[in-house]
Amino acid sequence: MKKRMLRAAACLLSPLLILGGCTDGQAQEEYRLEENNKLVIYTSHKEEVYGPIVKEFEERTGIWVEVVTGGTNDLLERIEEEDGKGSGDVMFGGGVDSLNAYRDCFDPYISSQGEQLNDAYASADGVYTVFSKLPIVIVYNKKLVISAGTPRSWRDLINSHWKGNIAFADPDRSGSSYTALLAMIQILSEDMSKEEVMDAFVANLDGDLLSGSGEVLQEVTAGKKLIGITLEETVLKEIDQNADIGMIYPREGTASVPDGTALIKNAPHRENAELFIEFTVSEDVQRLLEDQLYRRSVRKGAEDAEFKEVHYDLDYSEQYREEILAEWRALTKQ
Amino acid sequence: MKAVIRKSFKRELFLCFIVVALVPLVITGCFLVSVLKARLSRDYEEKTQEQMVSVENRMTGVFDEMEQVAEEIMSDTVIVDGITQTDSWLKNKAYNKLYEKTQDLREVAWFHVYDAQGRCSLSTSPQAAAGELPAYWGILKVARTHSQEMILRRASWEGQTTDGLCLQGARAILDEDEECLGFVVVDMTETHFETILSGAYDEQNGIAVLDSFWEDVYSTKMAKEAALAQTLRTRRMAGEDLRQVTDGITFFIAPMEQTGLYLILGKEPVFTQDVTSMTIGVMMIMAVCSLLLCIVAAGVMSNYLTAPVKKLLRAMARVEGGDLEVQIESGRKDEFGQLSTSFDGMTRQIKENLDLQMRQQKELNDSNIAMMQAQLNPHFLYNTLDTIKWVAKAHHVPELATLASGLARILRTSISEAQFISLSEEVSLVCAYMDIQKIRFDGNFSYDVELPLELEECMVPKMIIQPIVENAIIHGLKERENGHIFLNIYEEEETLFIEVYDDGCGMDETILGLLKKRNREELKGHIGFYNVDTIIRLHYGTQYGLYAENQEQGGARVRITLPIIRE
Repeated sequence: MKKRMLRAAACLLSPLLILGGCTDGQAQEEYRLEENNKLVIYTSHKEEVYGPIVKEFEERTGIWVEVVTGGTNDLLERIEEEDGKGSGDVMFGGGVDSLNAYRDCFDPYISSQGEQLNDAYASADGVYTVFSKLPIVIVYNKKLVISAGTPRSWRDLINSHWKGNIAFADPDRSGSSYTALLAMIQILSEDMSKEEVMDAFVANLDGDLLSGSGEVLQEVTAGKKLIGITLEETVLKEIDQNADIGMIYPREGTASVPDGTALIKNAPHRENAELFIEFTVSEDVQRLLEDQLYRRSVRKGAEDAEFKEVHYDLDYSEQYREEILAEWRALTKQ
Repeated sequence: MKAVIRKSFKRELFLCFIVVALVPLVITGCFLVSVLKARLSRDYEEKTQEQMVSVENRMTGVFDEMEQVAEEIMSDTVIVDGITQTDSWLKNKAYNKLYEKTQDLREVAWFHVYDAQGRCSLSTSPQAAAGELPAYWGILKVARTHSQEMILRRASWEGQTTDGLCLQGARAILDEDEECLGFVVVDMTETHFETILSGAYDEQNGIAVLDSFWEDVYSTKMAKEAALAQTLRTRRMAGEDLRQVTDGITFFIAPMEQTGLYLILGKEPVFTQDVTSMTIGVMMIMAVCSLLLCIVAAGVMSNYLTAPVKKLLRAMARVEGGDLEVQIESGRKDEFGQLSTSFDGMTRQIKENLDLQMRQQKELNDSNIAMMQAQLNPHFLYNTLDTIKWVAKAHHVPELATLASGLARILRTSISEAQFISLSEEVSLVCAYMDIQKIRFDGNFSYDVELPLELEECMVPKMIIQPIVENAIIHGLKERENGHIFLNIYEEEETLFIEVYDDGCGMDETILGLLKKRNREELKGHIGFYNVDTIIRLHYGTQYGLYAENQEQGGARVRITLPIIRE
């Protein structure tokens, strides 16, 4: 009885099924992508940086690229969570110190163009491949500070002349601020201990700390602060937008925050990922960085005449990070 | 459920009708809808394909023209010389040429001439000729290496303001030594695309142009809102079905030959939820209508079928009660009519058989009596009883005399051959019987008889009153001192009424019920009643008979009705 009813129901429903799906498998087949023609990139760069590079990569290689964007730390945590089982192939962006901290999530890769690259920040065991450098500079408001009176060096920044007039992001929150603080400690270490440097600098900030590096330029262009400490990239971009601000490379030299690219462990499209890493350090891309993206090339021969480069001690930075930040917190709380 | 349906013929019919009416309705409905849908979708697809072809033709037309114009610009020495020219008069001449060459296409694109380093030298865009394109990068690099054709690329932001810029084309200008002199660059903005496409497609549809990596080059408003390009690219990257059931929009993809671009047309699906639900709604209404029709038809049909059966059942019940006069007399000509006729025939036959049997029985009785009369000479009995009477008188025992004369009279009447006797004879017989009983019961009751003179000569079956009176004495006055029996005989409308009243305890209600039903089996002890009733009915028909009831003031009344027959 039941069977008969089921059969009857099936007979009744069959026309309804015809009403349903009409899919064209042909188009499906025609537009199927081969797996070896794909690449998945995790990036913390802004679209203006990754956009042209990814587009050019696609057009030159014919590889389809899927871009997953996010903050550096979010992406790194995601990679760690995925533990080599995710879809990501390449982590594009993020300071090399951050990449180094998650070294277990990456497969070592040493670029075939290693010879042509500046080895100052190169990873010895190939955890990452350096992509660009972002030097730290002093920015000032041209309307409020005459060029003759601008600060010229890191030491000037602890001069009480600028007390309360410096825009600086909290190093606890901003990676570039931390690098700047460390560069200052490193450069002034000849005659001052790191505690003395921090003490003097915090006193000069007069308790004003910004919550993000983006705010530094806002404060300076708006005239709320006279000078600020931030990345060269952002200043150059702002100047290109006709902002009335000036930029100074400190006399003692300055440190650069390098960022890099790393090959994610067990990448599903490893070959394409390697191609991409090679592409990021290729002459064309590195040239584009300087030409259009306000960044510094990591290739040899692109050494910068405008400023003296101070070697930024990554090991020191990593080792003393907690100690320095704790000290900083204690000082700024007063 | 099944049990409930099986209980009623009407419900069974109703179920049958529903199946017969609804199943074909649903099947044909579904079939129609599916055919309609398939047909509509096909037409729709054809129409869309036409539209896509028209859009594609228009765009490839523009691209072809562009390529032609680019070639003309390349081969024009005035323009090519103007690239590096600083002399404003010569530059002006080059500009004039450029505007002359591009006048047909300026509505749909901007033309620029770049120098070999990627600096813009001449431009038809409304902005001043400025800006740079990296020669080592992007479109210029490709154009340099593929100098024989026009390269088309999705515009990106490097080097220039990107407001509304969608597509870029470039072609390298080479001299005889294959040395690069510069580039012809064509820029197409959203406005340009709108101009090209206006009127080529239905405004309700969305058009998107994708590059070879399915990145969005240009999307109309609708395509942008539906995020056609992004959705398709994501699906293609993930290896999912390009068209999915959940899509609110159906789309069609066509590659544009040679350009490496793809044309996407997005459309609202032809069979929207509205249409589908409306179709289902109409089908539901039709189903409800036929359901109502089924209910009405089932009612009418079952009545038509069950009415004669019920009539037959009722007639059958009456026959069971002994009424063989029943006739159905159906006017129908169908099987039910035939059945009724056979039934009528059957009852007639039974009645005839019964009559015949009765006659035979009577003959047998008659012969029995004749035999008894033959065996025992009745005159011997009368004479003996007469002798007892005279002996009793001689010895002054009047009761014995009464008993003997009464008994003699009863005996004479009951064994006489006559079936019918006059009413006066019958009454005197009953009086004799009552006199005997009076002596038997020690004078405990009295009686009166009312017999009009003109009815004395009426003929009635013999011994029909005696059983009634016997019953009244034995059952009605059983516990009674000084009971009274009243025999009342009268005529009304050609019917003879014989009534026996008593003032005793009345008759048991169950006995009265059994008498009404003429149930012989249950009437033990009152079989006299039944016999009287049956004799009258057999002789005169069912309109006559015996009726008993209790009186309000106590006691019973038994009435016998008979036709008046005089000798």
